[in-house]
Amino acid sequence: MNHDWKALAPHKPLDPGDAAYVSRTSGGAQDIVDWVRAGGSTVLVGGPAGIGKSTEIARAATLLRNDRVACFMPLDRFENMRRLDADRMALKIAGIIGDLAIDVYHLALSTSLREALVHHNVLKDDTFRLRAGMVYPQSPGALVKSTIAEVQRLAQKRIALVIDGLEKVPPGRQATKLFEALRSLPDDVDLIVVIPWHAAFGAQSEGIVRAGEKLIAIRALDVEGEPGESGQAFLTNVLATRWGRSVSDFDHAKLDLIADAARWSGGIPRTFLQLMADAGTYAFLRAESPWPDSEDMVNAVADQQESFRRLLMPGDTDAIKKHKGTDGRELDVARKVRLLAHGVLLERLRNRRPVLEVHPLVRAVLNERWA
Amino acid sequence: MRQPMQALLGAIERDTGGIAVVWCPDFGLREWLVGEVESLVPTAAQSIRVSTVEEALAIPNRMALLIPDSEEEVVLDLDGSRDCLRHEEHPRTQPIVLFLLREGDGQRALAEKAISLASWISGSDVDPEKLSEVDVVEERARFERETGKTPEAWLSVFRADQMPRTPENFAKTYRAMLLEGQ
Repeated sequence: MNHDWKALAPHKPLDPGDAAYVSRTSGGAQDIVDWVRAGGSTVLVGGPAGIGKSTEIARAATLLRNDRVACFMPLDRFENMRRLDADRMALKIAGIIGDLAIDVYHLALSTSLREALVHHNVLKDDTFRLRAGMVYPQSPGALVKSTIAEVQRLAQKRIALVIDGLEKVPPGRQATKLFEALRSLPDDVDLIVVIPWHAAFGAQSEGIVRAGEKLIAIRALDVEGEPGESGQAFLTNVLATRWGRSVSDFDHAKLDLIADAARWSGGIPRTFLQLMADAGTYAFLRAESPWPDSEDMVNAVADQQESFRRLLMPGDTDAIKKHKGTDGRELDVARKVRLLAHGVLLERLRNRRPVLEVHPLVRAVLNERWA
Repeated sequence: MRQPMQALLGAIERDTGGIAVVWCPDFGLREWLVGEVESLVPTAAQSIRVSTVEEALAIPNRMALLIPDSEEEVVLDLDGSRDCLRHEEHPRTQPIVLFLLREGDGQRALAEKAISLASWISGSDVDPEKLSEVDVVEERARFERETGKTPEAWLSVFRADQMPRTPENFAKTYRAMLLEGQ
């Protein structure tokens, strides 16, 4: 059996409706959808890099399409998030809603709205030409509101905006302005938004998380020991479905190697896929072998360890050593945000309480230093 | 033993149209490494040197060797624009290979601010200083056992363009380059 290692594509989240989606053992898309359907109109999503936030909110958008006009908006696919301002975000949101309304929901948007969207260069529509001399006075904020109002009226459904990419917005005025703009949208719009790292993990959230809003943290899966069996099974299933195959296609030897990768990943799906893809590529480059052996996995693990090692800053080693096993409340906020966002420290629930654990790949690096 | 360029080729191979990073100890070695990568990658990749993310994104069908004037700016731009590589209308088919100085501004930006990019490239960043860890005598013997040729003999065939440009041959060629004349 040959394996297409590139098909694993660790850097690619799944889009809405992708058949390769695998349900997490806990948390994720279903939690988001349950909360929205229960009337919680704003859900903020956080979690370390590579944990699957984009995939989960894309799945949430799919699930919400039964009873809402669910608009999935990966803003980072169109814009440099570090330069995105509130007006540009509003225009992009208006354009995506308009596009979806026409192409997916087949709604007959008014000519004036289509003209305004085309005028602002956020909708492609070849069915008419902009009228010469015509003035389109709507501000970006007003345009997004009128787009939402018209689509809701035509669809007779609530709109859910599922917005990805804002985790890359740096702390400060830009983040505050963007979230103020989102909150200025009509109350009958559901918002599901991936929030910036500093808001997800830091106490200084600059008003990004407000009272009454639900913050859903997508956590690393347990992958070690007996409690980690379901996490390992999930990751094995992710691997199989990315190849369009079944877990039963893997023999015992392959399952052992997959379990190794799962344990080293710390329960972060992207790291797991990177380890498998790297090991598979090593096997191919070494001897055009279709499946990696343990040495290939050792090499892939070594690459990941070096990457983690480069992320450690002065003082991190002592801080990690001091605060592992605690809830992290005494950890300096900036350091805590950075270490949790990178997944160097993983926040897990133990007896319903958050506890910071060291990523297995980092544990190995630190053990060298502590030795 | 891991070979630095085998790791780099693996990094380039891993994600179609992804990002790989080469860590360079200093500017002099950076220039040498850029040249080495240019000589190793398939002709079809049409590698081209660029210095900004904007330039790299503008050529999705060519391998962009990104040699930044400002490391921090490029790392932050790449972090903020990362998913533009997945643009539906212009999906990237060739990777971006980013050359950064070890312990420089780019590395600090990756650790402190560019969380998404750091996650994306994890395992796909290669530090050629590992080269210094090579046991030359043992590696030459191992190379000859595996290929039946000395590194120099292997390279003469490669340079005469008499060898298929497969990933495996590229990896062996790089190993031969590391061992050449040693």
